[in-house]
Amino acid sequence: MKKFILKHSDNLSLGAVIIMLFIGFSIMQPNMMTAFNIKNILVQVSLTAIAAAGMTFAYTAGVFDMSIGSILALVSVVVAKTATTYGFFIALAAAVVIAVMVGVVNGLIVTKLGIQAFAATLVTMILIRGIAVLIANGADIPLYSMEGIKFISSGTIAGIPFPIILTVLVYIFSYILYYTTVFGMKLRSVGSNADASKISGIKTNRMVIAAFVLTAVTAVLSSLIKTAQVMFGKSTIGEDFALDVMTTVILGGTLVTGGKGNLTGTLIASILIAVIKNGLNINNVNSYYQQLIIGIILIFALIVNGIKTMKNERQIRREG
Amino acid sequence: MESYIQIRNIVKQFYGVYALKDISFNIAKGSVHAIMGENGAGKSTLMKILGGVYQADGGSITIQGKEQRINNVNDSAACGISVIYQEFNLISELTVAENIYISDIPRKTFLGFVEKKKRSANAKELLEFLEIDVDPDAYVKDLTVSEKQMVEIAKSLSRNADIIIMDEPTAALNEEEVKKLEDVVNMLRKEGKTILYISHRLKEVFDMADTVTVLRNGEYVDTKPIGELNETAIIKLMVGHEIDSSINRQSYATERVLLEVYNLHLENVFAEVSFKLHAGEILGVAGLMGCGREEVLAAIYGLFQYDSGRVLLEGKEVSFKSPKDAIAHGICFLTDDRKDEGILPQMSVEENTTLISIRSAEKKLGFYVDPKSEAEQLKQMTDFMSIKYANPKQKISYLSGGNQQKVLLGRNLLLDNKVFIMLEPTRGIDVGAKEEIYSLLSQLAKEGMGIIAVFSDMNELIKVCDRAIVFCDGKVTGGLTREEFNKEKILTFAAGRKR
Repeated sequence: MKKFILKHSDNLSLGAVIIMLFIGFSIMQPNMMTAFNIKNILVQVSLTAIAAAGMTFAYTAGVFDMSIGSILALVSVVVAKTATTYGFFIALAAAVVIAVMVGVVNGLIVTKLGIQAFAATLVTMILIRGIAVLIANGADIPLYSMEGIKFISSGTIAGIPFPIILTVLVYIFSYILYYTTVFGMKLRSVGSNADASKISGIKTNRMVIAAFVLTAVTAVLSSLIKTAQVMFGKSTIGEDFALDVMTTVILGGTLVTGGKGNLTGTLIASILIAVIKNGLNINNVNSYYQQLIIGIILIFALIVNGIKTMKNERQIRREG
Repeated sequence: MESYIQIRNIVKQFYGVYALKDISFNIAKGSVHAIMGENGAGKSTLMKILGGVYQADGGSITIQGKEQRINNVNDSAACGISVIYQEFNLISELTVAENIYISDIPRKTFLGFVEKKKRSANAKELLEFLEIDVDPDAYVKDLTVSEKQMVEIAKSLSRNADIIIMDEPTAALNEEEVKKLEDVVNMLRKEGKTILYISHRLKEVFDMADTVTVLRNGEYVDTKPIGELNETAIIKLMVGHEIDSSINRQSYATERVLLEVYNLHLENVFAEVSFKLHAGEILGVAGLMGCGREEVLAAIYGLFQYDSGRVLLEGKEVSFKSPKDAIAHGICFLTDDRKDEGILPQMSVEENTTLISIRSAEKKLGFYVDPKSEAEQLKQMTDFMSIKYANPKQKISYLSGGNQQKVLLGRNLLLDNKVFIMLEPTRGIDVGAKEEIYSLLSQLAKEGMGIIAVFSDMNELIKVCDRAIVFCDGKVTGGLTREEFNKEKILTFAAGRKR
């Protein structure tokens, strides 16, 4: 038991913070505790949690993807455009193809051109947003005729909201990929030490590209939920999304320097952030303050992450 | 008459190990004074003490009859000392002139604007004086290594340094560039500057130096005018007494040729490299820093590509596009930079061990990593090499250097490999672990593996290897059989003297 607590101290402390916050908010505003609101929070969680799973892989491989919010917009617009004429599944296929392409492009810029992930995805972030606006012609594309799409955000299976089911599936898949496959091991090894991985015969470039593709594909699912919520193909959605997702992953305890992801932490952190946002909303806190608070949380997360990284480095230096 | 520089009883320890022990000698004004010794003899440490990078634990330095306390780089500069390190101290994004006057920028008195024209003109004057054809407004990043060296020298002169220390200035230069450097050094001597010159290369020392001081294992050996010395005498001073190479190590070398390399060539890095490796043989590779031996081996392994030449594995021609290719053909590689190119610091002992083998099992098992097989593989290596760790999930960073090295060896041994290329297999590990690695190499040779091992420490090479080849300037300058092993011979080859 003690060992378990020690090993999972990061995740457990995040969980404890959630419970405390939840109790605090509930005392301030009893509406917090209602089944309706809890369901609301969980659907909110699914939006970031799914994309954050992909981003955890990116961080593990030693990169990250600022363009994820723009991918959300592009997918939303493309799905809306194609779904109305060709039907939903063709639209979904198109969205996945586009996401894979974006991931590959991001990956190629980083690996072949040797541009840092920050600069590379900053550029693609602007580019992809531009493409989305162009396709949408600057307007929202209504999806009224596609009532079925609503199911993605508000449908239920056996009483459980579909986004939550989707989140659970994504995390099960991610866990398997991360912990039990050769792919997961290669990805971690590239993030941990790219030179060593190369010497050991791993095609490091391919792994980095794969990490970007994974991130983009999870963004497709997040985009579908968001699009179904508003029932519009919107080129303006997801503008703060990259920041939210990256905050979530770092807060969850994934090392920013690569090599060690924490999927459980990412999931718990996305719940934490959703609880904070919801709690502030329900207590009528001005949305401007919400940004401020998320920013403060990010600083806090980065400090904790920095301390951990430093510890790690020191250890390596001492022992090496 | 009192000497210009008097170095007296200098002592320096690192973590209880003596790097320098009671070093005393004199340096005459206006002379070129060579400091020689093997790797680890303490030359660089001594220079760093003079340069203010390290502080001596004891002893004194007297310059022109005045005892100087050199506590930092500024103190050193105040004494008129300027050091040109192997890794240059130039800023590649600045111009030549900006670099030369980096700490002494000519400024207009009013408002303090930089006088760019004056700076360029001053730099030009300096460069012309040194007869160096470099544009003062060129960016340092666009210069060749030898040009950068010259800029460093110009920088020293701009600071009116009287004592210029050069730490292996020719390590990365070609013959023509070395000639140019010699001219400049001679010119500086004429100007009355005192030059401390560190080099491994005998030829240059005989061409330039007036006096030679030899250090060995951190101790002072002798100082002599160059006229009283010849190459053999210097090598003898550097090596000391013969080491006992009669330690009986069983040789398992067979006649079967595993790997043949013919005329391997990579522009400006190595040329005409040919050698053979037999099954069961431990082939030592000797050479001084920058001799190109690591590059040759990395190129064979597919880490980068060579321009021309042939590599034959068991008689069949091969050319590896990537390490993955090499591994698939049964060749493995151990880096000499365990921390930066070896371990996966965030990952467990188990994962670090099975990194390569788990992927070769990929075809059989599909994409799934079998935890049982992982554990078994680690156990196999643990039993084979007695690796010590608390539990298989422990992070590798927690292990000692020796155990980390064993994990890295194990990573390569889990596959059925034919050829093992090792760079400095015993670097940075303690004596006990070294012995274990030696016997491990023997064991592997006995099983028929061919091992190519780079050793910088010649005692190790002589102790472990069946045969050795020696590199100098990217070429194989000599080969020795076990019976011929002798430090002097190896050093002579490494210094580029064919016999």
